Amino acid sequence: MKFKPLLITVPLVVLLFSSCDKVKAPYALARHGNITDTVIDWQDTVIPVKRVFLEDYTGHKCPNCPAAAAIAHSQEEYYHGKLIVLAVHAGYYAIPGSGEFAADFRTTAGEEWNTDFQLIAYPSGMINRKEFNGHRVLGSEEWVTDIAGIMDQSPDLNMLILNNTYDSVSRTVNSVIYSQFRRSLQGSFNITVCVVEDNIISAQDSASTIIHNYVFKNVLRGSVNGTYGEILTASVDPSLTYLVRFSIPINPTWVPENCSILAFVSKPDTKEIIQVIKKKVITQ
Amino acid sequence: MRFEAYLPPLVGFDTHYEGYGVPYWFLNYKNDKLEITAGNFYEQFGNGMSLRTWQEWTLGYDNSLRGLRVKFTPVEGITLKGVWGIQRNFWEVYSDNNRGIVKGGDIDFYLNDLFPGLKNAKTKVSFGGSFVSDYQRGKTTDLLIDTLIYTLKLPENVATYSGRLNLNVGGVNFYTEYAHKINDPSSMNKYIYKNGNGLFTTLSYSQKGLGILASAKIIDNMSYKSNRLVTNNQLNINYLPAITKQHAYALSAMYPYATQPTGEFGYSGTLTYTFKRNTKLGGKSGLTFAVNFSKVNSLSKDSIFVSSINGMALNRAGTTGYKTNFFSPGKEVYYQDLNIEIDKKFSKRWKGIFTYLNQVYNKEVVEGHATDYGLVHANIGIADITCNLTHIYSLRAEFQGLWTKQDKGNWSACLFEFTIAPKWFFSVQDQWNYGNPDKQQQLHYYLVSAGYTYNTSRISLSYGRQREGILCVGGVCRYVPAASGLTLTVNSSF
Repeated sequence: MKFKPLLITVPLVVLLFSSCDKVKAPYALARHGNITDTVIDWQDTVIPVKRVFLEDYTGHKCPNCPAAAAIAHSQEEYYHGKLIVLAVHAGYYAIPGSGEFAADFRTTAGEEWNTDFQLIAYPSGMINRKEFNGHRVLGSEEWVTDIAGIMDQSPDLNMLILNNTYDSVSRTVNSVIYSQFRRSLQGSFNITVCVVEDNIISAQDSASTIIHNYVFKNVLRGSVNGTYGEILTASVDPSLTYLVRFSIPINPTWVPENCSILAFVSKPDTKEIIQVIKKKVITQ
Repeated sequence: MRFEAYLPPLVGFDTHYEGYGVPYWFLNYKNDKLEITAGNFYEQFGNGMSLRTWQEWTLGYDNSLRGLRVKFTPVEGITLKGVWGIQRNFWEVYSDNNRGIVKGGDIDFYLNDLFPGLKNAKTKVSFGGSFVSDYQRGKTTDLLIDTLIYTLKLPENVATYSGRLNLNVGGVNFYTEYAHKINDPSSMNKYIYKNGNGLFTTLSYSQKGLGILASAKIIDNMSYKSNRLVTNNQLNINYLPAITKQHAYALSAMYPYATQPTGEFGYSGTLTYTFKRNTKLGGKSGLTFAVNFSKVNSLSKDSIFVSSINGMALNRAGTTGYKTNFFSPGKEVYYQDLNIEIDKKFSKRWKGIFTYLNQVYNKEVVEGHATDYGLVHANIGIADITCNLTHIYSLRAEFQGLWTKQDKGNWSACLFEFTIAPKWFFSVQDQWNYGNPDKQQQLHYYLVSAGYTYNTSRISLSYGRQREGILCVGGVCRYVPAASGLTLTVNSSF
């Protein structure tokens, strides 16, 4: 038998490089819990702000919806980031049509919210999923007054998205969301994380005509962690900062520069939202 | 093939052995250059710091590999080995991810065989290297750290590689082996990600009547198992050699040392000298004197920065655990043993072995207790005297004493053994814990034994009480509970 070094060397080299997994730090990620790797000085660096969440239930075949969207947009600009708007395409008017109405902006979460909260007329909306005068679902004509009524309330919860990191190769954004309760609240709280896309150009039915190049803003693209999110804490401890980490894929048809991560914290029983935050996937 | 039955296992053996079957079988093909084994096999690369599969029935230990082994000698002076297999874990049938798949390669060069010109050289040189990898599926695991659930990233392939060198010049022999293991978070190291390192070195000199051996060992996070969840002796892929002396007498073996794979720094030295016949100390029959000293300390480990909130921490899961410069012994003593042995033949009829030992034993570390045990300081004296009554009949007596203020206090032991060569022996022995602080526990552990040897078969019967303790072989240990009863042992080779 003749000794052939290659016969030995090649399998050994293959064995060497295929059988050794070097793990890169960080080795451990806290899925849920108080912060262990970052300190946030909530007291000195974070101004407590109660942001209000307006859900605009809409559809691209809804003739009256552009007017409601205009109200939402003007309120959004008026409150300079204290009002977070989410356009939820759901229900009858959001069903894709033919031709230029073929686009489908519906989402699983949006459809389930639409059903669960019994939205039957469009445009309609919810403000923090809170009841105003015995009604949770509000017509667009009520939005301005009801938003103003709760805008200056003191927040129960501080929220931060410190930095989203976007990987353009895998089209994934890694997001860490920090929350701190400002006082002791009873019961458990859920956090729901969504992807929102701005500036989608498509057709929209309007009261008098079809707007062929309508610019859709704040469009819900989907929930990252289920229709009603997941538990943030079962027992509030104001001395802790709670964090959740997500690795969120950005669909190839979405424009990452136009996308944002939106997160809100709600009570699982009443569904009322106590705080919301939004941050662009790609920050300048 | 080997058949085993544990119906049930003997007292002190792991109860997972209960059952019977054929855990060991193999098919073997061999020619001048190639040897292929399919089935179970025992294998060792170097001194075992990267891979050693072995069995030791006094420990109830068996980590044989079942798979394929190829040994290849392409030319004289080079030996290549390759292994692939799954380790034995009691009777557990291999299924998806209940343990890893071990694969490895090893090469040895014997320069004096490789180069004909060196064949008869006085200096003998050999060196070699190994690479071993364990594949265990699973890229993440959830772990509770402080009150929080963390997701840990896991390496599916954990590799260890090692290099070794052996030099022999006349009576001097030098051997050294270094092993390095990549990140291997496991239950053994509390899920830290630090690389492991191991260094074992011996230097010896021998000539007629004189033997000197010095050895040193540094172990840093070198537990290597094919299941990261296991914390007992099972499924070790590697072996961390012991440098402390393994004692045979009952009381000198009361405090044995178990290798600490998470970290230790040890050294030992042995001097053996035989005084010749017809000298002042040697007398008519000569005298052999041996002194051995070994000490094992912790490895010096420094805390690392974990986070602003947690600050500095040592051995925190999900981090690299600690910093060490590897060659720094820690302050904590794990084990120390000074023993002096004199072996003297007084006449044709009488001979004796006299031993003194001074031991320091860190019971908390070696036996894995939480706290409250501290260091045991023990002095031990042993006299082993044999009288050959005739060329057939002999009587041997052992007198032993162990004195300590810690643990269970003082012990004494004696043994009388009567042998009718070459077939029969009868013995009676007792160990008495007369110094136990708890008077209720000042017990006698007596044992009466008899045995008969016929050709290659031996049968022995003993009855008595066994004391609780730790039994170690080569640094691997098992706990032996106190027990009373009758033991029948039959050995037969055929």
